[in-house]
Amino acid sequence: MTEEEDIDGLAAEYVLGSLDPPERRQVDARRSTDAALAAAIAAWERRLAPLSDRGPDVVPPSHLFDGILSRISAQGVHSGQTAAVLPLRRNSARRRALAVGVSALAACLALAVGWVNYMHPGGPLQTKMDCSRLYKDFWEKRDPQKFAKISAEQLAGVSRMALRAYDACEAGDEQDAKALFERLQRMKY
Amino acid sequence: MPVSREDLVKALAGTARGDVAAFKIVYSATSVKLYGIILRILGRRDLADEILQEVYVRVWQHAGDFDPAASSPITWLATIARNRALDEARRNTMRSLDDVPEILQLPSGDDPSASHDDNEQLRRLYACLDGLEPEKKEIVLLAYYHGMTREEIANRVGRPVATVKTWLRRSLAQLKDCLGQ
Repeated sequence: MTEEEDIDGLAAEYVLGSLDPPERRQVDARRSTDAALAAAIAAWERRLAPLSDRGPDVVPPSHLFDGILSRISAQGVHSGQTAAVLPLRRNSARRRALAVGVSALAACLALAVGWVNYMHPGGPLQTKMDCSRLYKDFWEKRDPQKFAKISAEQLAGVSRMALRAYDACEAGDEQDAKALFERLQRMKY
Repeated sequence: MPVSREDLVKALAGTARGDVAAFKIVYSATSVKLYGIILRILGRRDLADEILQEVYVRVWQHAGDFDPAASSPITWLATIARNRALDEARRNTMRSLDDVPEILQLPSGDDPSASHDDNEQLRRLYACLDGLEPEKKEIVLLAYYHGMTREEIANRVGRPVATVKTWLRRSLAQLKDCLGQ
C-alpha cells in the first residue's frame, strides 16, 4: 500500500466516523499541519456530504434555541461582530458602555444592528416594515439606566421575549406583539 | 419553512455580522437536519440537546469562516455537527443506539423525499453505494449515520475488526472510483 493510498483511506475513515478514539485524535492533531491529509479530508467531506441530506430530520425540543441565545449573550459577540456594532455606540455615551458591561451592550447592539440588516430592502430577508420597526424601536428606546444593571442571563431573557413579540407581530397578531413589547418596557430588573 | 441555498448563504453572512434575526433563519432552516444527524450518532436525547446547542454557538462564532465557493451551507453546517457529535461519541462510551430505536433504521436509496439542490449528487452517490455488496454497503452506512467505530461495527455484524477495516477501506476506494472525483 502506498503512502498516498494510506492517507486517503485514513481521511475517508475519519470522515466516515469509523476510526477508534486514539486514531481520531491523531488525525485531529495532524490535519492542521498535514496539507495532504487536510485536502483528502475535505474531498471526502464533499463526497459523502449528500448522505447527510438523506437521514430523517428530527425536530429538536423548542427550548434549545433559547439556550443557544443565552450562551451567545453570556459570551458576548466575537471580534468580527464588534466592528459592526461600534458606529451605534457613539451617541450613547461611552461611560454608559463601561457601566453596562461590554458583552451585554454588544449583544444589545448586535440585535439592533441585526435588525437594521434585516430591514435592508431588496434582500430575501426583508420582512414587513411595521414589525421590524416595532422591534427596532424597542432596542433603540430602551432605558439605558435600566439596562446598565442587567445580567447577561436577563438580557438573554429580554432578547427572547423581544423575538417572541416580533414573531407574534409577523404572525399577524400585532396586539399580542404590542402587549409583549409594553411588558418588556415596564419590566424591572 | 423551505429556505433556498442563496437565502441560507445570506443568512450565514448576516450571522457573521452579528445579526440575530439572520441567525434565527439559519437555525429554523437547518436545526431539524442537524439534530437528526447528531441524534443518530449519539443515540441519546440529553446528549444530543447539549451538542446541538454547542454546534449553533460555534456556528454563531464562526459563520464568517463559511466560504460559499467551497461548500454549500448545509454541507458546512452538517460537517460541524457530525464532527462535534463524533468527538462526543468517542468521549462518551455510555451511548446506546438502542435508546432511540426509530433512528436506527438506515435511510434507503429510493426515498423520494429529498428535494435539495444536491439531489443529483445524492442520486449518484447512492448508485455507487448500490454497487457495493449489501453487507459492505451496510457497514459504510452504519459508520456514516451512526458514527460506529470499526469495533462497534464488528460487534454488530459479527465479523473480526480487521475484516471490517479491510472492507471499509476497499469499499471507500471503490466509491471514490465510482464517483470519479
